[in-house]
Amino acid sequence: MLKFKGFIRKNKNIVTLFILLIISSCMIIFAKTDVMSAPNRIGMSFFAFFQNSTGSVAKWFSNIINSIGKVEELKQELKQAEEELLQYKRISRDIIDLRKENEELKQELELLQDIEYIAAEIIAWNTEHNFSTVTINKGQLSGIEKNMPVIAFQGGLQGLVGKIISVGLNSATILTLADASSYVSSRFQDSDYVGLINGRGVNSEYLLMSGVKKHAASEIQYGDIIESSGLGGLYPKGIAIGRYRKIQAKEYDTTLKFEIEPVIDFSRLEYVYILKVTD
Amino acid sequence: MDKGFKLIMLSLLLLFIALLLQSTFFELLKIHNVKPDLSLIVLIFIATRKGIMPGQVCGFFLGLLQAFFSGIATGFFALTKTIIGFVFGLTEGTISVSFFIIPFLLAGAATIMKGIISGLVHIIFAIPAPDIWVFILNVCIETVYNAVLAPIIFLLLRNIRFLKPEKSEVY
Repeated sequence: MLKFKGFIRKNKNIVTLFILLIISSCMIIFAKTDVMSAPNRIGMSFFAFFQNSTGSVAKWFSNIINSIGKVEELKQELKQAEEELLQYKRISRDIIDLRKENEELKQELELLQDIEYIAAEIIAWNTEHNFSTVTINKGQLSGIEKNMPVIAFQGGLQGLVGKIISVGLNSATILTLADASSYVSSRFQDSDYVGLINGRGVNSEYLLMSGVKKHAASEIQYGDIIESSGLGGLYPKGIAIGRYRKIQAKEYDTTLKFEIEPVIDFSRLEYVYILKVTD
Repeated sequence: MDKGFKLIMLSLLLLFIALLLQSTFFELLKIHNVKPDLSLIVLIFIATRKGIMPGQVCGFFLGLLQAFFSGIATGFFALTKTIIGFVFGLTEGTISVSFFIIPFLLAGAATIMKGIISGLVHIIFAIPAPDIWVFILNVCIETVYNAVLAPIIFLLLRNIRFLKPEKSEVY
């Protein structure tokens, strides 16, 4: 016993290292179980308070810096918008298309009626680049639960951002579609071909859609919109994810892979909407 | 209060502040979507100044804090930062951090080491990893960013009383 104590005292640095490494490894293994969710929730709730206040100051600074360049940008946007407006005025609309669109919108409206939107502001960003998560200022107290889908509006488009992965009292963490562990069942809006979209990392310019049938290649066109398919039950059907940019076709593959440019620029997110789907 | 315990608590407070700044203010300093790892720079300063034990313990708790901040894979960051804290703690008393080039090299080496360990942890524990080239590019940008920033951070940290070297040490 004395020998053992002596050994530990002599090698306390190495022994401590091993203990800490074992604890860390166990934490990784049990990360997705309920064992780790309670401490995570408590920790998140505590730290969100600090992140919220520091985040507000950071945002204030950011707004001041951005507003300087924004004036020129807005002028250009206005000019562009005026040109676009003229273009739109010249376009004659086909009545059949309008009717079709009207029908689709009605269907969407029916769907939206079952969905409650909870607006939230991003207060902090993940500190490491190999994960893509953000923290928002709404949590359990606002009715947010794990696995709720999150959307955002950018450039007049509604796009899928990701899902809630952990919830604190007044904060929650969103796993964005850019994260490598993010998977969404999706389909091409026009041709209905389905596939699975996976993130490629925070700095990748595209998401990867895989598992699309090979004969889809002839029907799919550059710029086609890809939306959530609704399969799997996590994300509602019809939320835009991205646009088809490039095909990755190998002769020996039985399915096709597509590079998808997301409609949402995840690095520019400020406000998001959490969807509370009620049956 | 025990001197070692006090040192670790104060270091953790410092790391907490670094992490808070990193997850909020440092968003404004992003280059190609990568921001400097302030908490890593602070950790290697603590480890090189105070040794293995404060280095690894602070690394472990820094990792836990980071998991709370990010909401993902509790233990992932703890594992990475514990090893970095331990390795850089081995250099205690052997290198002088007062020269500009030393913090530059230390931060660069620590970032590369973090990248390698993160990659291995992704593989060993089957945690989905980003595209390999995107990952390597990010590590390269972060390495340069951290290395450039480290001399300034080290200069600031050298003035903190509890992180000053013991009287007997000349560095």
